[in-house]
Amino acid sequence: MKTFVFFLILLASICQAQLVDPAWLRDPEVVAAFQSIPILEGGRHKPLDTHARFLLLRLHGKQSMKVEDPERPGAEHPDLPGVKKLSASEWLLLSWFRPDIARKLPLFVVDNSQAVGEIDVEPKGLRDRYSWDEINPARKKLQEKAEGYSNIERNDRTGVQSQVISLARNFFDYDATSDYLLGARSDWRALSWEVLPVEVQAGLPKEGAYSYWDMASGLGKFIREKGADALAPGTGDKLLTEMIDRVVRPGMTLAIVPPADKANTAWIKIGDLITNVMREPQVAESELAIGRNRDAMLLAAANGKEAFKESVKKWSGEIRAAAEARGELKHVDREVSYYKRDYFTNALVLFLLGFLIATIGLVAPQTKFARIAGRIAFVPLVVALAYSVWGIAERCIINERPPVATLYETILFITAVSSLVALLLERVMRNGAGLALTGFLGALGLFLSNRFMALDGQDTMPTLEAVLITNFWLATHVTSINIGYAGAMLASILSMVVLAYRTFARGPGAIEKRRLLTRITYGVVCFGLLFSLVGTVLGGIWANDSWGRFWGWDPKENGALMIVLMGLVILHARLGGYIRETGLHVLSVLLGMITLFSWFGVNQLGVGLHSYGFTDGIWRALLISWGIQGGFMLLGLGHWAFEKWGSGAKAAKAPVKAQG
Amino acid sequence: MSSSSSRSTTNPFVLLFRFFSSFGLAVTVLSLLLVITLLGTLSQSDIGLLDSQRKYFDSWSVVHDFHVGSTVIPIWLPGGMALMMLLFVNMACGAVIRMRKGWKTIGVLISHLSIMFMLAAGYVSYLFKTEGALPLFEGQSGDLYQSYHDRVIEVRKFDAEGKGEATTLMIPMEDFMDLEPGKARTFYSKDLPFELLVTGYQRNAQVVPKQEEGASVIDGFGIQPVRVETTDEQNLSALVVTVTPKDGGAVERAILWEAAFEPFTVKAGKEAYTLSLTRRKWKLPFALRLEDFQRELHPGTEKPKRYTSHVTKIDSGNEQSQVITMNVPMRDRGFVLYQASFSQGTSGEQSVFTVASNPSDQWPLWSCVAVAFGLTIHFVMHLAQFLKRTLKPKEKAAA
Repeated sequence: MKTFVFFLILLASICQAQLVDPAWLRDPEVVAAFQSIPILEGGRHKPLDTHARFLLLRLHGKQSMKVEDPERPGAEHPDLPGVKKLSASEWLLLSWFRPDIARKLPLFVVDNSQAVGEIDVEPKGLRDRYSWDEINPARKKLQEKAEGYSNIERNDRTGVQSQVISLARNFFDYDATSDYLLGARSDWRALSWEVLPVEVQAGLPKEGAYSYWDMASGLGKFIREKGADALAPGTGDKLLTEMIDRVVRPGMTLAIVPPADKANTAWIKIGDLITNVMREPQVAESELAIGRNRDAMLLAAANGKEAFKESVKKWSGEIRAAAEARGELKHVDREVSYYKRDYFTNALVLFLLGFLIATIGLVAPQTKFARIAGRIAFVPLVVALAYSVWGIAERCIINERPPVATLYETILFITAVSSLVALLLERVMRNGAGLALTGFLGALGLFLSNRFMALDGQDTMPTLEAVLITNFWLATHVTSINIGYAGAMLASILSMVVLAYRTFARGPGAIEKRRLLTRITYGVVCFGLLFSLVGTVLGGIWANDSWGRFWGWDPKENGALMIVLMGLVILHARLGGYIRETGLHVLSVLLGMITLFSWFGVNQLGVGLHSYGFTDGIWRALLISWGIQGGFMLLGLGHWAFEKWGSGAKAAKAPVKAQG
Repeated sequence: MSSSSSRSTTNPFVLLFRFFSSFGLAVTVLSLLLVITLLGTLSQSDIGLLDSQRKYFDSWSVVHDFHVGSTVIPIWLPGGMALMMLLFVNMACGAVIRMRKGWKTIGVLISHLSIMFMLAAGYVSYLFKTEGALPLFEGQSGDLYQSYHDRVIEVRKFDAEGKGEATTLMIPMEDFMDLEPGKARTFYSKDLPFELLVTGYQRNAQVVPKQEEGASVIDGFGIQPVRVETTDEQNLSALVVTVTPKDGGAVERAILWEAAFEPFTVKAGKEAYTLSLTRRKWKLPFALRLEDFQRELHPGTEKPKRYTSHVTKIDSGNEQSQVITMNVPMRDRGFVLYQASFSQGTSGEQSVFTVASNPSDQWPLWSCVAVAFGLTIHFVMHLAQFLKRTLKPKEKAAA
């Protein structure tokens, strides 16, 4: 009864449905209530905050949005006073409750401005952003162009054509998102009263507003009893068009209603719920309440901030309670906190700080200054490493699986392992170089993980393919192979450091240090080889158990084999005396190139059982990396030529003893 | 190591042994294997996995076309088979026979022997492994599995009452896959009352009506070659066969096509023979009946989370319930049945099992354990040695 009275009050105020003050949408309690709402997306239960983050990342290229006056860059936005940046959740709330403001914000990132030129929108610069308002006049043309380009094979499309398709997808996704509460904002009396059958009108208030829920309920009963043909000509079409456009289409963006039936694992979207209301004589009260109370939030705004806040908490609480009763709220709060704590950005900053301090210490090696700098650098580096490990552990708990199952997770894991090994190497080096290397590897790896996430633009905790759902093999094969990658990459970077160091540092002290670094590099190559070999064979055994063959020459298997072969080439060439210091480092850099190919390149070939999907921009990043590594190999060959024929020939006579 | 007199020997056997046991050969073979692996991997997006495997990895030699702008430069390279054989010999000579044995080298010895064992497992698998699909609808049972790639011309014999179905002749694809139009080969069998002349093989083809007269047109139909698919399972091969009775009867010609609904029938006296171009089939020593197939999806998606088949193994009248699911195959008498895929049609749900028979099935597992053990011993010994050498003087200095 209380609920009914509450609705009557709210419905009475629908005609004066107040605009929500944008400041209310940034109230910490409101934001927290929304962030922790569970939804079902991509087969897993996640917080609304995660949905907002990855939607904004895909559309905008970032997980937050800078806000300023479009007319006067740097000045406050006239509709959002005092706001410089919107978090993803704040942006989503603004899009739901105040689309009139959100649609003016520069949202869609377009890498190539020719793409917007194609749909007759005034182009800006490269990687500039466009608002919904700017694209909307061209929506019809955008749709037509995108449909036309979609018929072209993916590999045959030009960059601009791909951009148009991507822009269309992003625009229409956001169009639906920003219309999420359009049904609640609409005046259904004006839209439907005239065409509703008398029997349906009788069940609705004679005056004032009524909700589409009540209308749909009455209309559904009428159709179930008398059939759709009993509606006056045109009535069905008009109502259907309005319902689809204002409620069903935007309501399909989120599966947010936990079903009352526990046997049903698929959560319900508002678009489906309203369809159920029309089709079924009885819809579960708990489901209906979530649908109705969503709209009630907008109506509550008419009664001020506190009423709005209460309605938000009520809606959030209802969904959470329903999810908890189903046992599907398990890791939602942990995920909100995982993203809030931002482990990897914090670690990145600390790695960078440690790297800078350690590098300053390297300016005056073997001095008191260097020792103090080393001790200071050690603290942020250890904390950064702890942050990385903690972040990875949080992901393991949320996903209920070992640390590595996606390409993004390989970057986090390999960064943590290689940084840890580099930190341990400092125990051997004792000159600060290990600390600088730790900071460099950590900062570089976490920077790349951020870039990869932005390029991919998808949830980094997706559900896995059926064959990958095996914690035993993920914990053994995948972990081993990634430790192998970490070893190979670390060896390659160490070699680049040695080759660069050799270019600038001269004298007996420098030779001694180089020799130590060479021995360490060789040890790291062996470390990488051991884990790569064991990981590769374990992968074969897994494949034997899953697909019936130990080895299938699949690209990813071949990539792992190539790392093993390169490691063996280095080992045997060194034992046979075919390479010494320079040769070892040149081949170790080559090992790094092969590792990158195996790590990222083979996924882009689009063939094989390990093809995880194409990520735009990976080839470009790979080519840049290979270019840099190739440069170091040439530098190494230059050293070798200098050693053999130049004035360095005498100095380089003393061989470095093999360790193998 | 060797004395100076033995080093300067001219004995060809010693020289040959030194060559095969040398680090130089190891480095060369491993490097070439690396190059072959890279080329074979890159080629897969153009020619598919099966052709890439045959061309680069199962071969004795390969000619790879390097593209430099618009110029094609063909380069000869040893194939994967030759390189792996050489590697095996190299390890046997260098790391087993020639290497000094002792506690210091025990890890190296174990790991090399294990890798040799792994290569041997691969070769045994290459020679003797059979692999194919066994698709079953719910309630259906079967004991035949069909190869994914191996095609055969199969001749079956039926008696006057249409019973029998004994396979009289099976011609493997290695014997006819080179018979492109213009090439022909005759096949005989003492058990057959006719000879078969095979020609015009096309790896992927359609059989289409043709108006013109010609050697390849039979009863108004001819073979139309189409682009070879990179996924070999999608190719439908076809060829022309000429049946010449040994007793001098009338010569018959037919098109054999993998997608044909019926085999071609030849009458010989009271008996009938059917000729078909089909995938090779093998028989299991037991039958399998699919009781129930379950496909579990991630909630709210069409993404599979788990496939599970509840089956009954029927063996000499005895029935035994079994479950085959992802990563959990069924093993029996050297045959392993894996959950491979499924299909849904008007006849219901069909579960597809991959059946494999491989004498070296578990060898890689044993080998892996041994490799890890050997390498761990070796590297840990050297790490300890390295740390001892590197850390000691500094501690002294610090003191």
